[in-house]
Amino acid sequence: MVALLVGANLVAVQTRLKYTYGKPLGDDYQAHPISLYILMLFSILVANFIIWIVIRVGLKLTVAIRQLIILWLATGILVGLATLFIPTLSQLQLGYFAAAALLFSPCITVIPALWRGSDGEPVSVHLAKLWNYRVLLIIWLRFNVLSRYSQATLGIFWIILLPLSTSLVLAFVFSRFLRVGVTSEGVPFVTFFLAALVPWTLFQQGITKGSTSVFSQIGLINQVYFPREILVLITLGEALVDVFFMFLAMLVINGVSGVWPNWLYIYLPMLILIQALFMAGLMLFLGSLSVIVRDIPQLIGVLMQLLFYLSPILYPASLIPHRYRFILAINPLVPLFQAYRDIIVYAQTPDFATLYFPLVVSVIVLFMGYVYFKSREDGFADRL
Amino acid sequence: MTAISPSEPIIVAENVSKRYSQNEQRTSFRYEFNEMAKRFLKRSVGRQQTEQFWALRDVSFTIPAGQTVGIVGRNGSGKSTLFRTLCGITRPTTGHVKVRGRFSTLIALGAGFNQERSGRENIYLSAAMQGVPPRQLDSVIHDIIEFAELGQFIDLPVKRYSSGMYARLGFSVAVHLKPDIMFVDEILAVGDAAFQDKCIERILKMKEDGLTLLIVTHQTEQVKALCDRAIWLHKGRMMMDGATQEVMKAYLQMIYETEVEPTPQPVAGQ
Repeated sequence: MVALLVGANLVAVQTRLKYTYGKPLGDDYQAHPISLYILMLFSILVANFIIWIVIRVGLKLTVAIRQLIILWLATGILVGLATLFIPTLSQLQLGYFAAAALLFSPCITVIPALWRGSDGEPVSVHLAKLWNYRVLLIIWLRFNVLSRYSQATLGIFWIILLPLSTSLVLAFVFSRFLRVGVTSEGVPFVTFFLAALVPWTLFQQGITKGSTSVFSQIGLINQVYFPREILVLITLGEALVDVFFMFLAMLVINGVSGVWPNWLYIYLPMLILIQALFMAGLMLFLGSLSVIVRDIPQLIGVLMQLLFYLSPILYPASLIPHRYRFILAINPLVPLFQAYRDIIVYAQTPDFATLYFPLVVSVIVLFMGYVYFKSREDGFADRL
Repeated sequence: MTAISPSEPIIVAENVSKRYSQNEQRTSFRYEFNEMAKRFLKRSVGRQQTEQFWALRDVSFTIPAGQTVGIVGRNGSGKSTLFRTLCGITRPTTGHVKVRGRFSTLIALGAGFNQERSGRENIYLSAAMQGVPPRQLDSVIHDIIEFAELGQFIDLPVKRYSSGMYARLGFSVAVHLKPDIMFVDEILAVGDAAFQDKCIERILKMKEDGLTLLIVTHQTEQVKALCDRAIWLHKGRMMMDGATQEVMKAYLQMIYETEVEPTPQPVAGQ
């Protein structure tokens, strides 16, 4: 199972390496016949079926067949539909998509369906438990967000003021003082910088807080039962709420610089979803690991600094010499930042093919993070 | 309260054992890394060099719906571990636990309250933590506030509450959520004497309505007054399981009369 996941990952990386960054859509990109989609969908289903048969016969495991078929169909159709909404896609990209989807969809349907928790229950049972506690998640999240600001004089307005002031300070410092050698490709630097800084803040906040989310609730874990994933999901939710307000602040600053929202913003939820999946996976892993290894949060602080400067946030990806492009190629956040930037700054359709890599990594990271979390969950109360 | 036929057992514990080892408490990166490597390579673990301690050893019982069971034993006999296992806070090392229906715990009153929010808001939070959605609360919220005797303080942040008010609110929420099972660990230290009487009264009323109750307490009079059945734990093993009178007699005899360590006897049916 691990081998398959790693394999999928490697193939994705390999394919990814062949791509150059920030490449605008050229004349060779063209629309393509609908029959290709059908072919692609069909091949996904066939491939899934074959893999499923092999696993089922080979390991003689009891699986809820109906559930699995529904999952397949859902994935196949989703991938197909997602491709349909992409306006311009070359034959090459489509081929890439199809090959990737073949590898990708079993990873997210068949393998999780075969997974069993330490109590012998399949993933659907665990998710159903989590679903039953959705009210707790919502109430808890709301209280956390509200109570963070309720003591201050300006109250809830800090949610908007804080990111606005942070963005302004950062933008000012980086656009007026520190412009040494940094080119922003002919757009206001503030806009260029903020388009990547906002998703970066989401990532950094989520991971930093997520790594302490479990062991900061020692008392509760020892006293009350609830699905422990909630602790991590609340942290993710808080980061999303905070960054949403930062996003609004960014829109204001952009407006002042003369960059207005455009209709391509409809793609933003998709990008945020990919990023949130990736973050959830990492947070689940780090949250449960830091119960045992208490140095993790400190380590994360250092790694985040490093990652900030290694990602094209302050500078465009094209500034990196070709020799070092591989650093960008293995970083799943880079295509995401590039896509955010394409949409917000340049108002152009992002290069969807490049988003496949972050998507695959996200789903794999999410799955592995979840499995690790679940295998550790029972020990939380004993270790804390 | 969900419909559960009284004839079927509502709590089943089969050969439940819980082991705590020194290793598990250790928090070093090297240890965790080794564990990961071992699991990855599927190598069997070499020699066991850890101090082990069995908090529970082969505990088995079934409790039919509607029964009130007292769990007695000296400090460190595994009572709390048993509760934590039944509530799903920890998982037994070996054996199985099956609990049907929804349960409330009166173990840590007011656990999970958000300090900054008001008492009223925390009622919703606490209920959600026990799996009860807000819309089911609308009909009982007044009873909860009234029972907790909080009056106008209900809209203050709970960090302003005294420890008595805090515990009363926690207790009030737990008993008004209409659970099928309730785990009670030394509850009756809540508030003043009048409130304690009210608590017992409330619990007796819920018992009449078919609540299954598990009580851990050192107050033997309470066990005798409330429980239909008693389970005596000693050093993680079950010493005796039966009618309250007999178990309590043997237990008290052990505590007060003999200084000699009793040897755990196998329980009938094992």
